[in-house]
Formats: sequence, structure tokens, C-alpha cells
Amino acid sequence: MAMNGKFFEAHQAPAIREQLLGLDESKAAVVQAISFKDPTMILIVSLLAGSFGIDRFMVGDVGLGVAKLLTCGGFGVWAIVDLFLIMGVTRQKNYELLQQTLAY
Amino acid sequence: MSGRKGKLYTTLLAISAISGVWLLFQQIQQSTRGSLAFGVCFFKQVTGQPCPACGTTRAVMSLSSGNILESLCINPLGLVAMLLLSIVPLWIVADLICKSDSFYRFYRQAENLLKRRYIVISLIIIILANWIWNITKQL
Repeated sequence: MAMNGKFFEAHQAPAIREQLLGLDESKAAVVQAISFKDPTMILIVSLLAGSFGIDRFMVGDVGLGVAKLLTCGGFGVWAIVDLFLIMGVTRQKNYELLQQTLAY
Repeated sequence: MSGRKGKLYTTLLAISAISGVWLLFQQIQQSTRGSLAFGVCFFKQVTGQPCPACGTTRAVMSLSSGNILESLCINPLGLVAMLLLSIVPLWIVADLICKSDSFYRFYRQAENLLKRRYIVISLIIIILANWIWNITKQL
């Protein structure tokens, strides 16, 4: 949890902690192995290649990534908007991935 | 409308609307002034080189005058954009009217398909090739 804290939204942390505490050995190993996306890294990608939609592709929003690429970062506007949104989106996607893994 | 589907539909409709307005604006510009208005490419401003999507607007305008070949020569992505812009909003509206989620399901399947390794690599190669072509054409 200490290691992975930055991958999730602050308000999600307590709930995640609860879930992790209740895990058995085999599940814990699977969770450890998940590779989450680093919000800061994605932000850097967004800064450098936001107009190409690469940040969206990296968080898994393929459709939106295509739209972003075709419109050259939404005429520049979307690229700027995403600079603010993308870290939150990354954390949300990480959370969903965790929940998905825990559900199995 | 459930959360995720609602967000997706809203986002895509908004993008379609803004793209439509942009194209309309360009169309008016072209008929009154004879040329396109300002370019919006951040990449081009900074590096001076065209980006993969450079010329998409011009390509779509060409298509709307019926010039398919010319459009493809300017930027093939224009054809892709035109197709998406025609089909996606209509499909979403149809879904909203019929209270179905056929587009949402299609979208999810398409996303999963596009994530496959060989598809990703092929698409990247195609986009890069188109980009290089753009640069040689000095769009």
C-alpha cells in the first residue's frame, strides 16, 4: 500500500486498504504482480504527445484516443483539458483494474 | 442512461458537434475568403512540421465536394474522420431514441479488438507511414 499509494485517488485509499488486509496468500501475490500505470508518467506523455492521443491510448481509452488523434488533440483544446484530467483518469483506471483483479 | 454509457455518449456527441461546427466554419471561410482559417496544430506551431492528422480538415472538405481521390491524396485520415463523423452521432442518437445500447456494445468490442498486439502494431505503422507522407508533402 505504501508503495502503490500514488496510483490511486486519495479517497479510495481506505477502502483499498481494507480489501488488501482481507486477502489470502494467493490473491495477494496476484495483486502484487499487477502493473499499474503511473499518473505522473502519463502526465508527461500527455504533455509531450497529447495532440496524438497517446496519453488516452495508454490509459486504455482507445476510442477516445482515436478521436483525439483525428482531431489533432481536439483542436488543441482537448489536449490542454486532458493535462488536467489525465492523472485522475489514470488513477481511476488503476482502481478499476484492481477491483477487477480482486473480483476473480 | 447508466453512468459509463452516458459519459461516453455525451463525450462522443460533444466531439462530433464541435467537429461539425469546425467544418462548417471552415466551409464558410472557404466560400467567402477562398482559403482555410488558422491551423490548430500545436505540434506544427512548435516544430514547423506537419503532424499525422495534418490536412484532415482539408481532406474532409474535399470529400464533401465529391473529390475522393484528392481527399485521399491530402490525408487518408480525412476519409476515416468523415465516416466516423457521419456514422457515430447518428448511431448514438438512434440508440437514445430506441433506448438501446447497441453502439455502446459495439464500442466496447471495438476497443478490445484494437488492443490486440498485432492490431496495435499495424495501426502504429500505418499512422507513422501517413505522418512521413505528410512531411514529404509538406502539408
